[in-house]
Amino acid sequence: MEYRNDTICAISTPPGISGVALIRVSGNKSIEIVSEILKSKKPFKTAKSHTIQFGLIIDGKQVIDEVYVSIFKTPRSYTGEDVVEITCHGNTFIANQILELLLQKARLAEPGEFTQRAFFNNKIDLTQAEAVGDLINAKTKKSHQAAIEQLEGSLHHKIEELLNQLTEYRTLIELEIDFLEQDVPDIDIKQLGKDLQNLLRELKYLSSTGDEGLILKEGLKVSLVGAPNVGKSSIFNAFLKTERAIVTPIPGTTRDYLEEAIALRGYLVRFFDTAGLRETSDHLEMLGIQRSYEIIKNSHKVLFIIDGKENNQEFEKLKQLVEPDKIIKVLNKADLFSIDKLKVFENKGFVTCSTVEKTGLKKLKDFLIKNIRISDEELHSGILNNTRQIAAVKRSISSLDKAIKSIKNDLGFEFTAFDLKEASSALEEVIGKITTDDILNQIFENFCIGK
Amino acid sequence: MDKYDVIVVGAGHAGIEAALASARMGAKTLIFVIKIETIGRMSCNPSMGGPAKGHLAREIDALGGEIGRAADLTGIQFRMLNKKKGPAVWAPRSQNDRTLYSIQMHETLESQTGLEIKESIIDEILLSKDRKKVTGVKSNLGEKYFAPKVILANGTFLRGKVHVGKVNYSSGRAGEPAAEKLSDSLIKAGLHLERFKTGTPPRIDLRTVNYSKVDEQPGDENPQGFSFYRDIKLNNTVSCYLTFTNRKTHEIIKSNLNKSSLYGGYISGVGPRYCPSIEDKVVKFSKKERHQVFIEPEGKNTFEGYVNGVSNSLPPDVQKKMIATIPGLEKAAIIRYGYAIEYDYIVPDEIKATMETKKIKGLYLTGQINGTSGYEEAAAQGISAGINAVLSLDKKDPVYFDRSESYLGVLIDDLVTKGTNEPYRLFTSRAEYRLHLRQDNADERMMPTGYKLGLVEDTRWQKFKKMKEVHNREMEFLKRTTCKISKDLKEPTKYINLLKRPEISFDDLTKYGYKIPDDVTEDIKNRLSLEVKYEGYLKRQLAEIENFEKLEHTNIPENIDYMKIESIAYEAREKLNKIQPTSLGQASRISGVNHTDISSLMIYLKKNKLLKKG
Repeated sequence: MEYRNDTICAISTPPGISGVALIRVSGNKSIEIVSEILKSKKPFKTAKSHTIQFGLIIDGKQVIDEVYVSIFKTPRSYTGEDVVEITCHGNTFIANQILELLLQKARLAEPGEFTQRAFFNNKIDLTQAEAVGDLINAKTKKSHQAAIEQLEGSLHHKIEELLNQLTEYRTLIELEIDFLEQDVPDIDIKQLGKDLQNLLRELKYLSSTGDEGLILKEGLKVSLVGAPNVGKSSIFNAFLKTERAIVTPIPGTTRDYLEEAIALRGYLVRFFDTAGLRETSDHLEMLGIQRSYEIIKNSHKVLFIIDGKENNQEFEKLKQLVEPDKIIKVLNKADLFSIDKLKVFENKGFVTCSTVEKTGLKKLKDFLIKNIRISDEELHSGILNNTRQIAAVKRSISSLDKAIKSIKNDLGFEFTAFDLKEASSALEEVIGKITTDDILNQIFENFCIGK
Repeated sequence: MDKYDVIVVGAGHAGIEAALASARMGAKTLIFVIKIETIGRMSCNPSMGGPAKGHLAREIDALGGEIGRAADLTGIQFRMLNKKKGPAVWAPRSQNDRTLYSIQMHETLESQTGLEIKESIIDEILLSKDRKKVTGVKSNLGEKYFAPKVILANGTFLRGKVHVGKVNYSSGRAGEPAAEKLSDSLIKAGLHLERFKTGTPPRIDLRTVNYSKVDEQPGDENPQGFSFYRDIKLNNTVSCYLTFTNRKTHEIIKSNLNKSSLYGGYISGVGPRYCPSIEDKVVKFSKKERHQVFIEPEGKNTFEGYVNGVSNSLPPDVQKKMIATIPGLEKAAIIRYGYAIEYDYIVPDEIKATMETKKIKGLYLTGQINGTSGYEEAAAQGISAGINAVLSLDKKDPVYFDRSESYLGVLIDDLVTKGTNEPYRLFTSRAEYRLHLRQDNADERMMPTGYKLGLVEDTRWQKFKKMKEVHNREMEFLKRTTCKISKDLKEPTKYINLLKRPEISFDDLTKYGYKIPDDVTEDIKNRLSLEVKYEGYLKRQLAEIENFEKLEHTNIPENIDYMKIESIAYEAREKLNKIQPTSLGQASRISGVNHTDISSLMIYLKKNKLLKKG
């Protein structure tokens, strides 16, 4: 564990059902970072310590939630640093969204890091300090052990393999920089760019399995979109009737959507009946539609339902909001069409079903879980299955992206090297490997160096 | 009785900087050299700089050292290496006139007030009765010289042994006597000595080279040197030449391996992997069909040439045959044969970051004696030892160079924290904060410290300040001023945004109405362009440095008994006890000390109220 005083954040309440959830932010930039995503009456930046503000958490123009925000300025806070606590509705979904926004500027806290900071800023006493010491020890050892155990499977090897590749590329670049007068093979920078692209693809795949790992844990989110009266609710209900409905950990609150969950072939599937994406002048309806945007954006699958009438406007909007492979086009009320007509729809990629005649539902279910690539077995053998790991891989992806750009823009090898080193460190975090830099050893082993 | 403030033993690249820094800071200083003519001898190739080493030379110069100035004054060819890579790794390099370099350094030492030169072999260090303090040195003639600070800069002279084939003899460098007895005195003082080896190639008569068969490598059109604010006129007067070994060369080497000192089993010391002998290259990379050979002139007034790339310890007849297989060198006459040299070094965990030994107060070790290689590496340690010896004499706080601030810091921290198991050489990849440690900004990083210490003359300091002033003024201007409209612009923008574009150079700004004032030098233009164009990367690097500094400036007091801290793993305790780190940052870099150990250490320090922010 490193000792930094950059700004960190984490959800402090346990996941699951609760009235409210609490997100804690600590560090010298915490007030600034929160103020960037908070819309409040008075400017949050100038708010006094130990006060509570009411406001909206926004992502650009999108409202995420109504929240209460408490502010504790240094040194009168739990950690001794500037601390901001955001109280939002007790919905893991929402809390995670807010966390993600914060993570654009802050870092996810390590286990015990808030307490650790409290300790180093003299906020807790000696006896507590020893307890913290044990805690840190236990956490570090445990998490290291956990990292090993969790990742003993193929994924661990995969990451090691990716790291080895990165090391190889870094070696080539360092060779160019430090040993330029040596008779070593010239770097093929175009090839390197291509290789990095391939690596990027692999990392992105890895990150997507991570997202799927989360699906297994938190459920597959499916939202239903369509014009009024196309039969969204009847499909919604048909799923609930044919499969075992289960109590979701997410309370279906007073929001403008319905949420129900079922167990479908071993997967938790959560359905959201939304207000759709239509234009409207009705104020109340507009609020509902705004919420729909958020739900749809965060869904793993979207059932776009029609009953025969074209609904292009809404479909176009949907395509802007989610990746095309997430959308399943559904023609409901199949019983009203001739077989030939149905064929036409099917050729256009529609799944046809009828809630009245109870046809096509099975096919729809198949479609929902078709693309979940991870088996239960794989999950147990180790997958990126927590936000921390996924975040690390995503950071690695972002650094790799920069490296590729640096090559494209001909910035200079040392900048590419810098990006690649970042990408490596992020991956090392995933498997809990602490490496000393052995690039020079690689060079001496593999290349004849020296005049 | 002869009494001094500081005694320096050895007048190579380390000793010179140590003695000059010491004298310039006002200490009465005495420097010993075995032979006067060899002051500042370039005993390896007649060249200075290159990646990391050129950076280091610039840093030492900015700090008030001599190496950069001497290299500029005696340079016969200058090249900026890595020009095609990015600006952080551009590296100045020079070929130097070996004889002139020595003369230049000799003159500098002679003209330095407060510095006395003496030709003598030192046999012994003198210790206090409790053997915990150094009091002086004793020569082979039995004379004693006293000083509270003794800086050893013996290079490869400690029990130096030269090998050529089966033949070997005691020598510090070909043709010069070794320091035979000093090692015993150091071992008696309790220091841990080990053995390294290195080697040199043969030197040839340049008049016997067939130049039609080798490739010429000329110097740069606009030569750039090492020294800041001295306005030395640089001259390119020679070229280097490139040729290659071939299968025939390799066959001769392979069939004579048993005659090589290295492969015949006559040498036990460990050599550097980055600078292998030609025997090593041929054996370890047997698939490689040829190896580079550079022919480097040794000076303006000599026909001697250094055959870089074929360092070896083969017997003379084999060397002759081998050289004759190389295109262009078929008829080359060898002036001096190549040789390998074995020597004692002191394992660097014996010293602190101030270069003072942990066991004996007042004794400083610097240069190749600490297991490093290279003129620049030696000079860097020398200036650091000189500075810290005098600061300690004056009862002032030591100067630590940290890794985020200079290559000098990287070098010293690597040595004292990680140690080395081969002759240590600096590479840019050893520096975590490479984007910040550039050769162009070495003055900004080092000069303020050098000036404060009294090592940088006022005239240079004024020029530096002027540069900063102009630089800051122009940066403000770029940020604030909107450019004039031009055809290729949709709407006017601030100059800084224009300069950010990869395709627009500083001079291009004139097309958009920028009148470049006369005091904006090429150097300032380069700095501004670099800072603007790479702003994103430099910011990310600075953020990393900020994190690094936190731990680095959390000091650990001296004399902690780590064995008592049971929450730390046993192996880590042993390591910590040996290294005695001065900061949590340094502790965290010791191999075998993990994050958990650092947590435990922090808690221990905190509990015992020993944790201090530096």
